[in-house]
Amino acid sequence: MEKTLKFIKELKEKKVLKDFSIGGGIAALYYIEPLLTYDLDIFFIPIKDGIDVLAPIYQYLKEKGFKAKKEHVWIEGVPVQFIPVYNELVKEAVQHSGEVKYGRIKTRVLGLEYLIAVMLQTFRPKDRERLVKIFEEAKIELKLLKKILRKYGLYDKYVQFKELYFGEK
Amino acid sequence: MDFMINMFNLRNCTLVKNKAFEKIVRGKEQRRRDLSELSFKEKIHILVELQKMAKGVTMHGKTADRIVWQI
Repeated sequence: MEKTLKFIKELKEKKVLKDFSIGGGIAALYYIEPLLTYDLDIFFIPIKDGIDVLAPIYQYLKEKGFKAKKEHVWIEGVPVQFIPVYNELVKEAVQHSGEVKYGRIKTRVLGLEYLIAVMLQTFRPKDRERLVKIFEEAKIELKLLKKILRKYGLYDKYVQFKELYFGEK
Repeated sequence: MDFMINMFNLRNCTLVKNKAFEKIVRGKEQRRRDLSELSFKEKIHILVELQKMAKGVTMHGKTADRIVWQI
């Protein structure tokens, strides 16, 4: 995993991508109890806008000998999925990511409050399942969370969610 | 979200109000909170163990291949 994260960091250093952050299940796992997931989602800001923003990454990875299989690239034993930032919320989330340590490697993980906002936006069954765990286990900065949710029109959805799962009004 | 079961009501059902059961539930919650305090590296180690277990469960079924990180 350290080698995987080191290589991903290298993509930024070599200007293959502008910025990145770990999202999805692994980001959730960072804040809560370990949960089963199979891939490492990397949200990234491309070096330049265009139709095929993944091309420079895949080209670089190919040169380094890593192989793509379906939507993943296997980097040092870990299936990694590179996801370009697909809206303003995700872009801001990547920009505001915090630096965290994995062993001796420094990497970036979506901030908890942004992660919650992204999950409320995508709102798949697995997002709802992870959100319940996050609200039960993680220490959330409510002021920041509400600010983000209001900015991206997700506040009502949050209130509805809290009412449904936690009986809060 | 009308189609979803109201989880709050479910949690407050008669079974949950049983004292012995509530003690178990509280214990589980504490365990989850303790696990959430582990380091990133320790959590990834547990994740790989979970992947191994999941692979064992599904390997004889018809579900999609479950992978285990080779780290």
